[in-house]
Amino acid sequence: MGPTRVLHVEDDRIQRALIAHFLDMPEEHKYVVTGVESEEQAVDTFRRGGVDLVILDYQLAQGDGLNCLRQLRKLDPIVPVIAVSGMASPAIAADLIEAGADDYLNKQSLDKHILAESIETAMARAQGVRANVRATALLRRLARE
Amino acid sequence: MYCLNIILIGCDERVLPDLRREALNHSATVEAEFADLPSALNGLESHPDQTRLFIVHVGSDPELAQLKRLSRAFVGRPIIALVDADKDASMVVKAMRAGALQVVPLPFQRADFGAALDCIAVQFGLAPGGAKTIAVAGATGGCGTTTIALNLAYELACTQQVKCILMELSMRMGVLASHLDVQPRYTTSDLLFDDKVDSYAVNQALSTIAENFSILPGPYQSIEPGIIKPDAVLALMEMAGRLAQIVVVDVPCTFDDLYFKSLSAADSVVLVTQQKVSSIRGAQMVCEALPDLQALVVVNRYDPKLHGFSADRLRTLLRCPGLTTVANDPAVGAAVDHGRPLRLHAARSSALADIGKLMKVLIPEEMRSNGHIERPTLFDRLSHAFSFSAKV
Repeated sequence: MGPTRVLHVEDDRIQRALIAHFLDMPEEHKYVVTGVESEEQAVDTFRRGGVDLVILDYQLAQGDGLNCLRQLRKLDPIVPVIAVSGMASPAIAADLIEAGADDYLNKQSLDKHILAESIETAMARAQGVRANVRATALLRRLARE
Repeated sequence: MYCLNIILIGCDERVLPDLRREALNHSATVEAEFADLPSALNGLESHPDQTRLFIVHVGSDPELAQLKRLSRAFVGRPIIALVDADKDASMVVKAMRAGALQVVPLPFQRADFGAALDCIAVQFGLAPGGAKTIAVAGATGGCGTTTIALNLAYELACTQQVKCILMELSMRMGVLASHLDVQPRYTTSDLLFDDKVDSYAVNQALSTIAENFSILPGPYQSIEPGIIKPDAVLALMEMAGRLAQIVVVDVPCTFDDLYFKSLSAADSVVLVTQQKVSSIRGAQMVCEALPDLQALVVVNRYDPKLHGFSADRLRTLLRCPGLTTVANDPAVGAAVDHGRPLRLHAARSSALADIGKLMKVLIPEEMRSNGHIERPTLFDRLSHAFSFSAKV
């Protein structure tokens, strides 16, 4: 299996470096991380394709994390999107659910293991759902024929 | 199941093990075994009106005469005669003249006997109905799927007197055995790697926990996962369905082929989630990926005060009007710690009351009261799967 291509949407340079550090797992899974700073860049990069997973900062200086998530979901309803925020609250979580986030992690308590587990869960789920959607579409097509 | 009650008469050890096994494989129950016809007539006198299938071994003219007596004593009841046709081929015709509806020549052949049973079942409107299968699946790991499945199955068995099998599909480190503090001899892995498994073998592998309640746990001492073909699991579910009225299947949250196939094969799906972004998203994705399932979403460990995660809001979000909740009750964890079903540990638990409500949604009152669990027909399932309606 090839490396997982991660789009990391984050305007804080230190946070970007931290996530890149967490995802640097030479012994385990290989991640290739592309970092962007704004909502616009995120949507443009995503539109070009080749993204397996998005890590999205909820509070972006340029743009809006929630709005960015909604735009990404219009482009792909299944790709895993993990939202991170420095200020976690149930209200934000509720908004993120509605917009289609796969998980919501608090930057304060984020570590390598929490991130890896969240990514693993979201990726496995997305792959399974995609495979099932493909199989169902095939079945429907066969039924029509 | 319970479509046929079988009375065995004059059958000896050459055929009895095969007969018992095949009866089970055809959802039939061996009600009684008699050495000869006179003792059968005496024994059955007190229940003359029950619907029964008689299986009688006929090897001689006196036994033919007895067969004739039986058919006259129980008019309209089907009889299968087992005849030693290799000794005297005319016995086949003689047995039919004496009142046998089907004749099965000996030595015993499974397929031939099965065909005779199926034919009688169809003729008498007793075709196997099979069990209702309820898949209880997690939207994410750790949301309490096994606990819900266990207590739901136990409630069905013990409060509704419905014969229920709980099957754990976890392929490694299953937790069902520890939740009940038992160490069953057999697990699903003993059956899934055997190509010749039938309902008889499944029945032998079941561990009885209480009256009407048996389990088939996942391998609870194995760390290494085996490679399981989904079709083998579906066949196992089907075979378990011949032994009970309801089969509750605890489906681990793997989102693989086995996960989706198990859900698609079930008659009802309970999707267990909790008030977390990842878990709600998991439920949402399953509901959207398998819209025809009309999964019943259950929010486990529900906290009504958690802002933004109210049941009403989640109902709208997941487009699941039937969404229900199970209270966040410490008694659930305590019951697991004690290795007991919740009813035995805390009968007044609020979570148990919620599971009771869930049970009533899954098995409506009229079905529970008459003991008949309605199951969709093949046509219902196909039209459901391909979203077309039988109505014009």
